[in-house]
Order: sequence, then structure tokens, then C-alpha cells
Amino acid sequence: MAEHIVVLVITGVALFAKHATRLRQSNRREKWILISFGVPILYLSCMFATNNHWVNLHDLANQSIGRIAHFLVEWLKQHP
Amino acid sequence: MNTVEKETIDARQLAILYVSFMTGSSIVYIPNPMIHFAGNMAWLSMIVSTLMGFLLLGCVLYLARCYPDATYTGYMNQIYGRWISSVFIILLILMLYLMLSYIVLGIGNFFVNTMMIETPEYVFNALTIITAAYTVHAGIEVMGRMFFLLVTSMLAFVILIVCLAVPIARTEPLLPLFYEGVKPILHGVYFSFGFPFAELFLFSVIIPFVRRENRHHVGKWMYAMTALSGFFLLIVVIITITTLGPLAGDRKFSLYAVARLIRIGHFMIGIEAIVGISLIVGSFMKATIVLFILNHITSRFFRLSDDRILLPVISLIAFLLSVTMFETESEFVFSVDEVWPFITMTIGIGPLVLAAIITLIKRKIRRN
Repeated sequence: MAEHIVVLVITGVALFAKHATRLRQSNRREKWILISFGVPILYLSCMFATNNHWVNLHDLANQSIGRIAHFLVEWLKQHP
Repeated sequence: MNTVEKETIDARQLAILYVSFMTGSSIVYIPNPMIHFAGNMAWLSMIVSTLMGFLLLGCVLYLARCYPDATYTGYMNQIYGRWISSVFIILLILMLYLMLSYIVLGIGNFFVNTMMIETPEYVFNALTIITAAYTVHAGIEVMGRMFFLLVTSMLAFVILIVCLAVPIARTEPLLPLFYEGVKPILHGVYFSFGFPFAELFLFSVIIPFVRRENRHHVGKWMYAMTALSGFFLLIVVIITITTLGPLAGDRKFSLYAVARLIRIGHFMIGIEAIVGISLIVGSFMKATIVLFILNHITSRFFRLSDDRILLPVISLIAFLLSVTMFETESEFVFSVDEVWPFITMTIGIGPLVLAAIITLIKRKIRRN
């Protein structure tokens, strides 16, 4: 868990370091947009830090459009 | 400070970005599943996919000609109206998150499976995303100039491997033809068209960055680069079948596996390490281009004046997705081999092809 948190912090710092001034100078609307992105970041960070496997983006894709894809591929696999 | 107004590239730089995008990760990951699905007829699937790629490119270029002043989100708004286009763009953004995290995950997967098996995968994912984010921050002009060197070295190593593998290649594995009928070939087409040929629609986001005086060369360059990418992928598929034989469909990272077989005398062995690095460069270039497109579309969607303000957040989400998505490798294989091609064909090219048809009909009605 500790190593995951360390990697997460280092990655975050490396990514945000160059944009710190830009983020500080952003207007109110931009700040709200940035905060809204905090929700998926928080959810995924908890998943990564605790090493749990909760619902993720690929699950949504696989459970919706993936079912049709699977059906199509199964049909393509049926050959003598 | 929108990038389209500020930064421009010429048609040749677009061609460099395009060929890095098309051959980038696919040259490493395509041969093995292709041969697994289509057997020794994988080469035919590749040819069909390339031809379909030409048709799709025709649609992309047609829309670029009809809306020369608009960005991708701009002309989607014009064609579908704001609400419908917003739905398509949200789906596209989600698709791009998936795509970026799959590419990043692929790089980590390659390292962990071949060269650095004891290092945790998230280390490679983090390094890839950080480097890609800094490259995108530098801008599309820098990417266009930098990728020339990287893509040249990557393709040079691919040519070198193919040439060195020719002496150990046998033609017998290419026969018999159509042994299991047409369905395996269609399966190969389904996979190889979805990845990478259907993905070329994303270049409708980058075409508006080309300087106005260079625009008339875009079509010529993009058709040529589609043919070149198809040719390279075809060569790699054929050399994999002919060198690895019946094992070709089961060996992961086929080109790397082919490079491991090459021995010239007692002095030229172990060249797979150089090949591995150059192949990873390909995936890195593709990840960077996808991150650029994702950042651009998201900024346009939120109508932000500063195109780079969301870059760190988007990169961090992509990194987190890449490290949290799959518990087992079979899940990843299922998502990439079965679901991903369908996603690109529906969420990706569906709205674009429909937009081209609507534009064509509208223009015909107006003319009449």
C-alpha cells in the first residue's frame, strides 16, 4: 500500500509541477472543471492505494458494448 | 491561447505523426493475435483491413475538405447540433481514456514480460505517462519534429529484423490457403481493422493543425502513409508466420520473439534488446498522440481558453486507469482483442461516417 501511495504522489507531483502557475491563475469556471475531475481521480486513487478492484471504465465498456462484441467474436470463432 | 490558432504543422509533419500513430504500438501487438485468429491467412486479413482503412480515410478527408475552418468538435456541432454532438464527444472522450490506458498498460506489460520482469508494472506506466504529458505540453510542432527521428529509427530496426530473419524463414507455413474457410480471415479483419486502421479517424482532430497553404498535400501524404503502415504490418505478419511457423499465433510480442531467434556467427546475438526499445518508442509515440487528442477534445468540449490546463489531470486519470483496470492478463486480452475493435467501429467511426453521409446529402440537396 505504502509503495502505491509513494508512486501516486511522485507521479502527481511530476505531472502538476509544470502547471502549478497555470492552475493558480485559472478562473473560477476552470477551477470548477478541475475540481470535477477530482472525483474520478479520488475514486481511482483509493482503488490503487488499497489494491481493490471496484467497477472501472473497462467494466462499463465490457458489460455494455462488449456483450455485442463478444457475441460477434463467438460467431466468427465458429468454424469447422 | 487555443493551440489550433497558435500552433501549426506542415503536411510532412502530419505524415510523420500519422505513421507513428499507425505503426506505433500495432507493430508489436498485432501479429500474434492476428495469426491466432486468422492462422496463416493473416496476411489477407491485413490487406483487407488496409483497403478498408483507405475508405475510412476518404471519409475523414472529405469532412476536412467540407469544413476547412472547423475543428473536429466544431464540425460535429455543425452537423449534429450541440446536444447530440455532446453525447458523441463524451463517448469519444471515454473511448480515448480507454485507448490511452491500454497503450500505457501495453508498454508496462511488454517490459514486465520480456526485459525487466521483476520491476512493478506501475513504474513503467508512470514513467510513460509523465514523459507523454511533457511531450504534449511541448506542443504538436515539437512532436512533429521529434517523432521524425524516433519513427525513422523504429522502422529502420523493423527493416533490419525482417532482413536478418529472411534466412531463417520458410515458406511452407504460409500454406494451405483457406484451410478453415473465410471466418478466421473475417475475424482477423475485425481485429486488425479495429486496431489500428479504424483508429485513423482520430486524425480528423489533427488535420486542422496543418497550415492552410499545406492542406492540399494532406490527402496525398495520408494515403501514402496508410499504404506504408499497411505494408510494414503486412511484412511483419508474413515474417512472423514464416519464421515461427505453427508457434506464431502463440508467441506474444512476435517481432521481439523473431529477433530472439536471430544469430549471426558468434558475435551478433541478443539484438532483441535494441528492438524492444525501439518498439517501445513506437508505443510511446502513439500514447503521446492519443494524449494530445484527448486533451484537445476535452478542452474544446469545456470551451477552455487555455488548452493545457487539463493536461495534468487527464494524464493522472489515464495513469490511474492503467494501474487499476485489470486483475488478470486474460481480462486485458479480452478487452483488447474482442471489445476494443467494436468500440472503435461504433463509438469511433460510426458518428464520423454518419457525419460524412449527412454532409454529402446536405451538399447534394443544396446544389440541386
